[in-house]
Order: sequence, then C-alpha cells, then structure tokens
Amino acid sequence: MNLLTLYAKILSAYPKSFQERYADEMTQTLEDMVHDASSSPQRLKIWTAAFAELPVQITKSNFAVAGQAFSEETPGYVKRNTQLSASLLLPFVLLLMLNELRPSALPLTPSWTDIYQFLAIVLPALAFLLCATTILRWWSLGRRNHSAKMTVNIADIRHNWPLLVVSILALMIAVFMLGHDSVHCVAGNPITVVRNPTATLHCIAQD
Amino acid sequence: MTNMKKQYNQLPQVAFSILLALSLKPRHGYEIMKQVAEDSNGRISLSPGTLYGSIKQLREQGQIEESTSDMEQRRRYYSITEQGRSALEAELQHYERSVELARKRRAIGGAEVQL
Repeated sequence: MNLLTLYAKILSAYPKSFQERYADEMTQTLEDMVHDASSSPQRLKIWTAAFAELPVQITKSNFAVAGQAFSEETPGYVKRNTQLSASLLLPFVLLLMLNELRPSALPLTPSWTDIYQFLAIVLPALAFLLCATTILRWWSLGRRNHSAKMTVNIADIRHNWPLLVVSILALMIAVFMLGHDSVHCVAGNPITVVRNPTATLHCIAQD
Repeated sequence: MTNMKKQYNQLPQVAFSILLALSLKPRHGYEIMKQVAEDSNGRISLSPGTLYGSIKQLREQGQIEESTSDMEQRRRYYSITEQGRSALEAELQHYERSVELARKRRAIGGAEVQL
C-alpha cells in the first residue's frame, strides 16, 4: 500500500457526505502537490502536513455534521429535555468545582448533608430519569407513527449523542454517589476522596 | 455605518485567502493552494484537509460555487459569488481601516518619541 492509497483510506473517516463530495479531489490535489515537489525533503514536508492535519480536520468535520444533525433533525422535545437534564447536573459540577477549591471547608452539618445528597444524588437521578423517559417517548412515537426515519434517528449517534452523553453522565454520578454509603464524607466530590483517602475513611468510620 | 456593522462578519484567515485567490478567476483546488501560497509569499501553505474543509464551508455559506471548465472536465472548479465578493470587500475595507489606524497611531507615537 502506498502513501496515497493510505491517505485515501483514512479519508473514509470523514462524514459520508463530505467523503463522497471531496475525498477524490483531496487525493488528486495531494497527488499533484507531491508530483510538483522539487525535492525529497519538500515531498516529506507535504506528506507530513497532509497526514498530520487529518485527525483534527476529521474530528472537526464529524462534530460539525453531528451538531448539525442534532440541531436540525432531532425533535424539539428531545433537545429541550437534553438541555434540562444537563442543567440538572450543573449543581453537582459546581459543587465539585467549589469543593476542589476549598476541600477543607466542607460544612458537614445535617442540613448541609441533605443539600449535598440532593445535589449529588437526587438531581443526577432525576436527570437520568428524564433522559430515559425522553428516549422511551422518542422510540414509542416512532413506532406509533410507523416512522422509519424517527426509529433510525434514535439509534443514530449523530442524532442522539448529546442525550446519550448526558444520560450516561447522570447515571454514573447517581450510581457512584448512591453506591457510596457516606455521601456527606465525600460531599459529592470523588476527587476529594482520591486526594484525602485517610480523612474520607475516618469520616466513614465515624458513621 | 450601523448597517455595515451589522452585515460585517469577519472571515477566517483561510477563507479570506481562498476568496482572494478566486477573485480573479475560477480555479480548481490545487490552483487555489498555489495562489494562496503566492499571495502570502509562502507564509500560508494549505494542505488538502484545511483547503476542502474551508471550501465546503464557503459553499454552504454561498460565497463560492462550483463551475465547470471545458478544458479540464475531470476537475471541479470553484468561483466566487456576488455574496463572496461582498464579504471579501467588507474584509478588505476592515483591513484598510485597521492599517490606516495603525499608521496614524505609529505617527502619533513617533511624534511623542521625538518630544
């Protein structure tokens, strides 16, 4: 396999629409560039630049297509519920960041513990439930309307990725915090647990 | 002035270079690359991924379009549209104003240094 064939193969990682439209032209242009190069170092420079830019360009292109598909083709309620679910995770993220800044200043009073539990478990669990309900509704509407396109879109990563990302994140947070029998000791911050294992274990033992 | 302010959208450097390269005549991808390198005295050297990524964006924005060539049918040629020409004009005016402002400030700075 020569370098041009390898280059053409890598281009298949572009979104299909881009690939069908531009892949041949890109290969042809690269061939012209290499053909016109006057020396071996110049050819090496061209090959290196052409291959080096591909990961970034391919990622950018795929993100652009995925973002466009989500914003234009995904139903409105799916987008709204995804945003709402993501916003339910914000307090946890905020808590994580604040605790990270002041790990020793955690107010471990009963009232604060309730708030931490609400922010670290209840809200992420609600976010996950909202995502799961949205996916079910999307699926059932597709079936009820016999809409093949809608059914395909649910399984299509370009249409569902924000919803999937938020639901997986919400589930991970909720399960991690639920599984932890002393949520107030970690105060919603897994990083604190890792950084101060002795203090966390001491706190758990006191319970 | 307010209207111009609303309409003006700064072009990315690569898009500006491509529009400038197409301002004289329609060109195919490799010709655009060579013209961009020439226009920038070799400072901007595009690779296929960057070039065609920008071409795609410019086409979607209606600033360039595909045109056919009788001479080389296997290649796709691109030409600048009216919209693209307006965007290029606006960008050039913006650069002109910036250069003018920089010159004035340099002149004032020079005067201060002389004092």
